[in-house]
Amino acid sequence: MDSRPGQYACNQSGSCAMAGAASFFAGITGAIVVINGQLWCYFYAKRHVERQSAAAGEQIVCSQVDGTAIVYGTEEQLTKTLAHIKTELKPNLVAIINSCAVSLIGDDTSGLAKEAALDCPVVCVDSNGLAGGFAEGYQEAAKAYFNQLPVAAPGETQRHSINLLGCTTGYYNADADYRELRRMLALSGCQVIAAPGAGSSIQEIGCLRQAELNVVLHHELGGALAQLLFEQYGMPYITLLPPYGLQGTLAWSEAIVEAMSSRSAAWLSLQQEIGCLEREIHQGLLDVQRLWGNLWFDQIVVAGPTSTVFALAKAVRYELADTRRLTVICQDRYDWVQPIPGIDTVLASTSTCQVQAELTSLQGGLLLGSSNETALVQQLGIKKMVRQNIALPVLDEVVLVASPFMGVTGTRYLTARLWNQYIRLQELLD
Amino acid sequence: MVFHSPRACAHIARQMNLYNHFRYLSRQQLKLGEPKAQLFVSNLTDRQAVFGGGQQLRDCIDALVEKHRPQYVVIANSCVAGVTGEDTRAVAKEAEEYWGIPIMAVDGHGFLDGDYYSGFFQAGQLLIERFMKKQDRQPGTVTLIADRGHPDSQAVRELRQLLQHFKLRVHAYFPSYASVHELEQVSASELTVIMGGSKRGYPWLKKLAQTLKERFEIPFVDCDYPVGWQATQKWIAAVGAAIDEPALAGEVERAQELRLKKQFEAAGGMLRGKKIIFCIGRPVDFFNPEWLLELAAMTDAQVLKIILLDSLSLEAKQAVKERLQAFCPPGLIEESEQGLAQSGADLVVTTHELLDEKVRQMVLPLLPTPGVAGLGEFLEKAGRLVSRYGQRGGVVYG
Repeated sequence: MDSRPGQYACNQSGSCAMAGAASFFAGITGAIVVINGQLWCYFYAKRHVERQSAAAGEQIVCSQVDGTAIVYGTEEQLTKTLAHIKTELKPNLVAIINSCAVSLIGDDTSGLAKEAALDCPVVCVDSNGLAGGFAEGYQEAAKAYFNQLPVAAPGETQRHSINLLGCTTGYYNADADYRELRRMLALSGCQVIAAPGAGSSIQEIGCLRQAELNVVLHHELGGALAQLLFEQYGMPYITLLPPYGLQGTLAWSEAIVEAMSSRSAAWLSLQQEIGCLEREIHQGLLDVQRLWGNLWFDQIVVAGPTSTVFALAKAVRYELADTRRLTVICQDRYDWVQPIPGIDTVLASTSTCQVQAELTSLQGGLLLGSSNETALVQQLGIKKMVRQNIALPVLDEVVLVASPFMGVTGTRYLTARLWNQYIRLQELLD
Repeated sequence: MVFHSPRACAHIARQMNLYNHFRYLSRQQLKLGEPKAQLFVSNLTDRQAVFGGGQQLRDCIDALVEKHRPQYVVIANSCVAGVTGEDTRAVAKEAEEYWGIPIMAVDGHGFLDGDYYSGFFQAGQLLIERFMKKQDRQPGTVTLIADRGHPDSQAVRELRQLLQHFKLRVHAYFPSYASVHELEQVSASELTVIMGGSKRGYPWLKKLAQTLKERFEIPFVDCDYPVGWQATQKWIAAVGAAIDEPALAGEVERAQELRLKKQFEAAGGMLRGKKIIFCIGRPVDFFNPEWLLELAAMTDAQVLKIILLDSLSLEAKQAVKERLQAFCPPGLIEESEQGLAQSGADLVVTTHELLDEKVRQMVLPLLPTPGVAGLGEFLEKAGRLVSRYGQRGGVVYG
């Protein structure tokens, strides 16, 4: 048991396992997700998904279980919901997610689904809320999908092709980031066969074994799935930190190319693009640096999903800004990450007292996090700092322009945002 | 505040706090350093689901009391704790004996034992039982029994100023946002006033008022949160009757009528002759549609039709129809009959956002500000919306 002080305090605002499971399934085109549970949890999960993708949110429905159903079973409500889906919605896939309370009563959800005789595959899963948060729910959903819907053997493996695992639209800025990744991969001659949970259809996921390699983007979401696919089908995989910053992007793409059987001739195009942007940023910032100095923050705090915060922290420290001290705060387990030089402190978001202490010293600093950390800092009365949302929940920003933070284009946006905010910060008089 | 639940359930409560933070920030009402109930969670996992979470809860209570030294602790049970049959009361009693501070458990377990308001009521009852004693009455003092956010919100300010006309001073706001000192003041009140705001919530808050009446002989104003002019008149009369000052109530009403006239002079004219469509998708348990028709009549706006949205069940649609029949509304139709065609309307007043971005829509809040201030807010926002240049549509939140 975690005996650190503050383990019981709740100052963080992650989302639940049901939201994670719903995000995975709602990220499959044509799927309908049934929350077999109470309205309250349903609304929470649905809102989490639809804030990032209105279309995905529309794929989620609820059986509206009440207190009586916990005693007598959810058969009546679930059967009614499935009948509605069968006649009105005609999906390609139905995913039934039991809420925590329904999971505990042990209803035969699969049996009820069979009786409903739907015209499509059905996947049943417990939301796993007692095991953790968003990541645990996502993992459980992915595992259930591939256990219940085996992937057919490919005719032949396609050269220079990969699957992206551990992707979800349930992360901040995810759609823009995936578009950038797909663009970069296409530029370097690499085809993405499927990205389960991030827009691929059931048919595309069915072709997943045609890929040469599985690439795990967010380990906390896709690590277990990659291992499962390796065990079930012998598919090789690599786990990399997501590509932030130009060096981070170069390292990410090089690692993928190295892991494949041969190097595509187009690979040089991406290398060239990275080189060009590096020169462009260097030259473009000269005047600004002459006038405003270097991008310096007394303290940098990066808070969010584990893979995101480590990758971003590395990019910020190695390429974008200078600081006296850099702290990362992880929403999920981080024992899988190798120590990264330059990251001074690593904390779990549940270590409330230590998190609070780090945020207290953010005057003149940089906060890369969610609106949750922003609110905590505002409550501390700290105004003079730069902050940029990199994780959900986000309640204090309008996002209408797709601005990735990953990849080559992402580096361009992130550099510009940090610099512009830094300049505004210098304009604030003490 | 302790959630006896999986950690993620507490995240949801934290997220609600986060919304409040930014809501108050956007209205320049954020108060830094204001003491707030801190949120803790017992963090139930698979292990506790099988072997019981009593010890985990006790560890949580011990850790938080040792570190934070609170004046009291309230435990809210999750549905998971309900399904696994946790004896939270016993844990609370034992911890209370050990630490010597009030440690209470709300009986309800998530959705298993009623809705939001039943939990709200149970928490209020616990606070009455533990913190209130009979004491001398403080003349002219009022406790607001409310579930309307922060005590400095616009809604509460409006009721405070209305009560001031009766020479009544709000000295406690109960049960949320109350310090122990304020809780202890409640039983000295001369009167309690209920701020429920919905057919569903009002009976529960009234039960709290009845408890205070039975225990401490504090009368209460048996009239809900006044939205609309007629409701405001009724509320003023009810306050007058409760303190036996009907003549004063008449004066207060006249003063408010004058205030209302000024509001109409300032903004009401902008709606004169405008064509309005109402879209209602909220059940009558949570929404009072009459005041909209009243307001339309007062502004000389023309109500083209009232559309009952498909988000309402058949029973809920019927309930809205019955509620509106007395007003002989024009063109009461259902979305499924004619769709959401809004041609010819200058303004659509709706409970739910409509997808058509060309429409000028004013989205009604779950609970509008009460009294004349609420009418003024509506008129001002609706006036701005209909004054938009050209054909520009869009949404304004009321």
